[in-house]
Parts: sequence; C-alpha cells; structure tokens
Amino acid sequence: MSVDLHMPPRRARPFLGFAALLGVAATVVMGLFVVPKDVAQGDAYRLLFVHVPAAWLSYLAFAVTALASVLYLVPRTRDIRWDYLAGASAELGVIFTALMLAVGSLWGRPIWGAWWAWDARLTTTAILFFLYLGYLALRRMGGSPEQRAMRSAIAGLTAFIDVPIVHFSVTWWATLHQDGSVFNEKMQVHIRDTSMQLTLLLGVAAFTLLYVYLCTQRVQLLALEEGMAERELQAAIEERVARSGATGTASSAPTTDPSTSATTAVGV
Amino acid sequence: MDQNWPYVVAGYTLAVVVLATYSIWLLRKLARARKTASTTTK
Repeated sequence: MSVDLHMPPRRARPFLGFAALLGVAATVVMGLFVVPKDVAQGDAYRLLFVHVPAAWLSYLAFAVTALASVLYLVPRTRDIRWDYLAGASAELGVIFTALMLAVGSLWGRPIWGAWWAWDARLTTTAILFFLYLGYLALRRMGGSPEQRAMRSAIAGLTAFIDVPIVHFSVTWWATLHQDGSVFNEKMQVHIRDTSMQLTLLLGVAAFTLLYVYLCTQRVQLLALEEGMAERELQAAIEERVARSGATGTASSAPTTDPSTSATTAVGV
Repeated sequence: MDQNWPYVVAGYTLAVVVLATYSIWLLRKLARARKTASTTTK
C-alpha cells in the first residue's frame, strides 16, 4: 500500500509549525502580561485564554474525526487515509479536552471555590474525554488495518453524539457553568476590551495552527508505521513460505518409498 | 498580580508543558520512522 500525503504541501509544514509556535508564544505573553486584570475575577480570568481555545479545538478535532469516519464508511470515498486522519485528530482532541478540563479546574478553584463540580457541562465533557480515550484504545486492538478502520469509524461517529450535548448542556440544564459568552447576545457580560478579544482570537488561531500542524505530522507517522508493519509482515510471510518450501522438499523424499507412505499419510 | 496568580501560572505552565512534550515526542518518533522507512526500502 503506498500512502502519499500532500495536505498541506510538504514545504509549507515547517512554516506552519513555526507560525503555530509563534502564535502560542504570543498568546502566553498577551494572556499573562498584556491584557488588563478583570474587574470581577481578577487575574484568574487569564486562564480562559487557554481554556476557551482548548475547548473549541476539542470540538474541531472530534468533528474532523467524525467527518473522516463518515468518509471511510461511505464505500465510494473509502480510503485508509481517512482512518489515519480520524485517529490523528481524535488523539489531539483528547489532549485538548484534557487540557481544557485541567485548566478549567484551575480556574474553578478560585472562582467557584471547587476544583470540580458535577455540573452538566463538566460531566458531559468528562464523558466526552473518556469516550475518545476508549476510541483510542479501540484503535490499538488487533486485526487488519481495514477491520480497525471500520470499527474505529463506527466508534468515532457514535462518540461524536456527545459533542452537541456538551455544547448545549449549559442551555439545556443551566447548572453551574456559565452560558457561552463570545457569540451570545443575551449574555449580560460581554468581552468589550479589544486586547481581551484579540488575545482570545489569537489563542484560537494559534491552537488551530498547532492542531493542523500536529495532525498532518501524526497522519504521516501513522501511514509510515502502517507501511513498515505491512513490509515486515510481507517479509515474515515470504520467509515462512521459503522455509516451509525447503522443509517440504526434504520431508517429501521418504514418501517415495512405498514402505513408508502409509506412515506419512497418517502423520499428515 | 493578585492571590490567584499561582493558579494562572500553573495553568499556562501545564498547557505549554503538555503541548511541547507531545510535539517533541511526535516529531522525534516521526524522524525515527522516516529513517527506518528509508533504510528498509533501500
């Protein structure tokens, strides 16, 4: 199987990685030192410049996994590369979800007075994290690449059901976690400060660039590993065939003797 | 800087460490895989 991946072009990848690195560094500097202190939350709100982009990126990563799973499941578009993309994106989604939960917990301690609450948003997000952790475990189970791709595609698509539940949990159940505040016109509090808006956008852009860069690298690694595993298997089969051919020739010699043919037949 | 600053520093440090560790692990593994693939195909 030959796997040729040119999205984004190979020459653009180092620039993409460099841009992601610059973006993340700029977000850290802006979030820690440039944006003003919040009137209500003090410095704790600075954590939201990591928490919110991580949350958006987890949605994006799992959406890409679901889309790639659909493209694998549809016979007309079936290609093993969609399986690589689904796996790579899910892995990054799990990392961003874990980061979102951890940073959210660090924000919750001073603002809510608790590291964790069994709130609708937090609980559904924890379920999402474990669903995709299970998806990654499922990918490591045995079987041929096609079998793995098929069962992973079904699992990846099924797990995505939780994403809209996570997103709308704040409006459906209205528990502790606040409603979305960036695009929500009904919210009483809006981010009005330009540097705050820019830092949030920068965080989202930087994390998106990092996601695209790491996802392409992960897809390439999966393709290379699968290619190597396939070559190793092919070499092992060829060696086995060659060895059995050699022993088969040696063991067939005595059967030419009529006195031993009955014993050979019983032995077989 | 207020009393919540340690939580902020912990959050940013965690994010940078997690993302940097994963990126380095991935790029090293990819470089090794490329090297192995180029030697086995020769």
